[in-house]
Amino acid sequence: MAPTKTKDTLLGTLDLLILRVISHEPKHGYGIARRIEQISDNILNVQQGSLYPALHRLEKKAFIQSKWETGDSNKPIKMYSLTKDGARQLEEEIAHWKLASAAVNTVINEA
Amino acid sequence: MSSELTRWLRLRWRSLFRPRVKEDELRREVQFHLDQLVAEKMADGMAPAEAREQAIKEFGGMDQYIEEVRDSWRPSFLRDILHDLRYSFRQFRKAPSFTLIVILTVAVGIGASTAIFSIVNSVAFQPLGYANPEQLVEIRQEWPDRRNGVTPLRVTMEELQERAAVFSEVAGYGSLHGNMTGVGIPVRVFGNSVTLNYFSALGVKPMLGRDFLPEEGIEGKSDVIILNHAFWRDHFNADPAVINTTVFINGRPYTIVGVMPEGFRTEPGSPKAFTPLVTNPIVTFQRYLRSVIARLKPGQTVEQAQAELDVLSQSLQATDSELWKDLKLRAVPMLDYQVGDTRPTLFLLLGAVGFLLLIACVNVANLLLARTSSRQREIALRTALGADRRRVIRQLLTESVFLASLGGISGILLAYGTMSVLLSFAPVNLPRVDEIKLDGFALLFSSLLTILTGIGFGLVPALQASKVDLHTALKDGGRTGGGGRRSTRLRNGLVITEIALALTLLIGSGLLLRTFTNLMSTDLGYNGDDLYAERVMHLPDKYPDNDSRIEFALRALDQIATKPEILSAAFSSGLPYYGSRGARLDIESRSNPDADELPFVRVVSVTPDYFRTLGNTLLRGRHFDDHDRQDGQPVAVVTEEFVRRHFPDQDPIGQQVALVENESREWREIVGITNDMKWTGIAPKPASIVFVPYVQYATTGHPQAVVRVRPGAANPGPMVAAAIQAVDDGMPMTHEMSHIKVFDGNSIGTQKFMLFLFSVFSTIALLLAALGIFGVMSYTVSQRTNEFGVRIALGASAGDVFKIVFLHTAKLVTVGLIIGTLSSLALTQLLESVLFGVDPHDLRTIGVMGLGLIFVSALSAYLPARRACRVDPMVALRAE
Amino acid sequence: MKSLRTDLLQGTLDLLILKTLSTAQLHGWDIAKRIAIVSSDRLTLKQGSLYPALHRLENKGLIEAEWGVSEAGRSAKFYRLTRAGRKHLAVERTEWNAFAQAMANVLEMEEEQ
Repeated sequence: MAPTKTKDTLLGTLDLLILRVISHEPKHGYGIARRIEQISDNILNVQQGSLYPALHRLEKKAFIQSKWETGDSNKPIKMYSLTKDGARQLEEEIAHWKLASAAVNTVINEA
Repeated sequence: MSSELTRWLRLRWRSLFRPRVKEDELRREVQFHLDQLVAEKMADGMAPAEAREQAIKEFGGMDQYIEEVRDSWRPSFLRDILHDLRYSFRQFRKAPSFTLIVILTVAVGIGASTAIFSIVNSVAFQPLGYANPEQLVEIRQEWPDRRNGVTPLRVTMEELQERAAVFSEVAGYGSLHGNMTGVGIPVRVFGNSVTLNYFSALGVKPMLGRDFLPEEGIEGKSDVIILNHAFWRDHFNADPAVINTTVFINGRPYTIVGVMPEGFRTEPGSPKAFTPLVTNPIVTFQRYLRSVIARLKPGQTVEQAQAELDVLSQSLQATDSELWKDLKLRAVPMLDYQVGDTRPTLFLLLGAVGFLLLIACVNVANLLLARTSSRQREIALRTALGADRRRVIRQLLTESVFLASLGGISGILLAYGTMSVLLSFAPVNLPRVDEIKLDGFALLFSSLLTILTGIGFGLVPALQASKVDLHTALKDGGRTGGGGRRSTRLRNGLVITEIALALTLLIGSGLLLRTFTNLMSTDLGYNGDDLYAERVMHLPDKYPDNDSRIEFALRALDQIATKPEILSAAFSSGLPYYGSRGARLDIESRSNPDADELPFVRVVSVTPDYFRTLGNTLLRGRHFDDHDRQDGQPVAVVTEEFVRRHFPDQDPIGQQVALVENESREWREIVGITNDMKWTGIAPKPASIVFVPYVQYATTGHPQAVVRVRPGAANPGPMVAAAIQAVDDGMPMTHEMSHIKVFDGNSIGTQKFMLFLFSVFSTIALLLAALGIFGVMSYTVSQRTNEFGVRIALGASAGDVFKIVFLHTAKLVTVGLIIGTLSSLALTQLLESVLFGVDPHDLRTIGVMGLGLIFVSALSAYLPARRACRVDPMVALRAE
Repeated sequence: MKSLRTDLLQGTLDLLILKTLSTAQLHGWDIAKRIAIVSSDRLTLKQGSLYPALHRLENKGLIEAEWGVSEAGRSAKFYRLTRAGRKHLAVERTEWNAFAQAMANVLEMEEEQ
């Protein structure tokens, strides 16, 4: 099925968002999604189907690392945190976003 | 709006039918872009080759983009459908047993119900081919106490014509049979002698020639005959030139004046020819009408006709209360008459089919529901990965419709196949059996129903599933029942429904099975195996007086007996299911001179070997033998029922009785008591019969030959004909005899057919129900694998888990059984008319069938339950 | 220098095309030029990807095309916005702005606690 181009796909900013959200403190997958939604007033809607593949991908690239912790209900929870490489990647992603979004803004906001 | 539409259409049109033009345009468009790019690079001072290379690099893979554009040309609807179909197909290949079960279920549901519906529809509901058939009624005369008497219906027909204002036309017919000569091989003809208005009352005209003329009802002018189509085809080679030629019936000349159109029929076993009924008919024609039909005036109802008939029979009784005592005239719609007593049977079948179809639908619904819920993860994932919700739903719908259609196609094939198989089990006397064909409407109906089921039950879970977000699905999917509580409840409800339906059908079939065994275990009083009978010849032409007929019959019998295949043979005036004459009975010891007060008995004249041929048992005294001569002591053999009725406290042997047909009374001595026979059917009480020696009783002109052949031997008709023609080569013969079982078709044949169909249905129902339970239970188990794993990890024993699964099934089955029992108690009441020797609420049947269903349910829950308790906790937990 | 992903641009391509066509009837090359600002060296959106997007939008009835003659005198396919396209542009634009604002919120968020 051809993916439709909507804001739901986050226009490739998912990695950036993930890295950004865990840059302050480690979070589990669900927490990451919730946090993104929360801060963006639900405009950035993280599809679960892309969150976990993204986490997996980022971990493989060593931008993030994970650790099992015990949660409130004694259940083991996987917590993700930023690595040093990840912090660098985050910078880069932010720069890219700024550049690209500025470009888009230039085009669409011209009179 | 319209310009948008035209643009859209133009686009679609071009993409569908002018792909080359579009492709060309695209290439030109892209080429232009590239050229511009190259030109720009060269303007910047690049060498042409380098510019070109750079341009292509900047542009990206040209072919890839062209391919991408081309993809978008294909109308997306078609493309999506194709895609969905391919996807569905992959899904089916991933779950072949699920697919097969659904297809089978649908196929069986559609196939069986279409086949049966077709039979019922052709037999019971198809119009008769008469003009305005709803206006036609058969008028029947019910005369409870005088059933044995021959009823002069003609009198009432005249009354009807004059006095019943509801009818526009009243017509009737009597029997015509005789030997037809002048057509090559002499043939026996069974036909009708009809009133002159008979065809016009039915609204049918001859296909060739003409209808009877008014003057042809008068003696001397009535020697005309109209042939029925099949007879004309078989014996006159469908030759139109037969009109105005002459044939002979019993030696008397008749001019053929017409041929009826193909398919014209009046009753089961359509008559071969029609002659006009004359007011003063000749002897070989039965003097009385067999049937009276009437056409209602437009706007009049059967009820109104009945009301007038009631008034009429009351006024007849007022004129002569003795003569018309207990007379009841009934108006029966023609269709009812023609389909007759098989209608309740057919309706029952229809009901059974309905149940089967329902069970199939419930099963399909259940399977689809279970499957879709189990795919919620997959669906949620796809939605999350950007698939449009509508597309996901469409995909699921495509899948269920695709499945249902596959099932439907198999069902149609199955229906075609089953029709002939089912009909090969049909009793010979099933009305209009030759007109049965696969019914398009039935096919459409059951196909629609199943496909709707497919859509309905594919859609509900699809809608549900596509809404579930991945997080919940992933979390719940592994651990809990899956699909949420609502769909679990729905599934449980469906299992309960299925069990209830299956039980009802099972109880119905159980009752019929009991009926059937009761019927089969009923002693008929004779042995019908290898027994053939027919009125093979018509004597009066060549043997006008009684003595010469008897002499010829005995010589013929001797000839027949010489044939090695024939174990024994006899002539008689009556056989079981063939009917017999009646007479009033006087008993010497308490003789009553007033003949009208004497009771009726059946009288059957037989040659000595009759009892041996039928396999009767002599209870007391003796059967007939060759010493009972025409001029000897008149004797009689009676049945047990006769003794019970007429000599309850006396020894009948040696008693003198007389059979009063005229005023004369010839006393004859009862010399033997033979066992009772089921004479008119299985359910009615045995008949009270007086047998008399063939030679001692004025015989009819066409005796019944009855022949017992060596077990498994072929139809003895040709052999018998040859034997008789060896005595007189000019004797017209019927070359076919009928197996006696054909005639008990009404009681045993139909029951057998019914039972056969019902057992097919209930077996299928049971299988489907088992399948349903199995499907749902194994689905539930697989959904709860995780939970079971945890339980086992936490110390639950395998037995505990087994119990959970089993108890769950038990709960559903119990509720299903309760509902099923209640509904069957209500519904089996409808079976009452076809049951024999068993109560519609027979507890034993309900119990046995209930237990059977419990057993099957337990069996189908066992495997999943076992799988559940073998769950490896490690594997189960990792399944997340 | 790692090559940056193109999905952001790809995702906004429809918006960019619609916006570009909102002021003039243009052929593909012109459109590419007008939005060239986003296809700078670091943003690796291939020009070819414009064409699938154009055809998709045409199929949806958001833009329509006809053959004409370019300034250079060659025949070229010219696109223009339809009424539906104009409406859609407004929607896309609003959505983009909301999205960009949301992104900004996330990037500038102060972590609680």
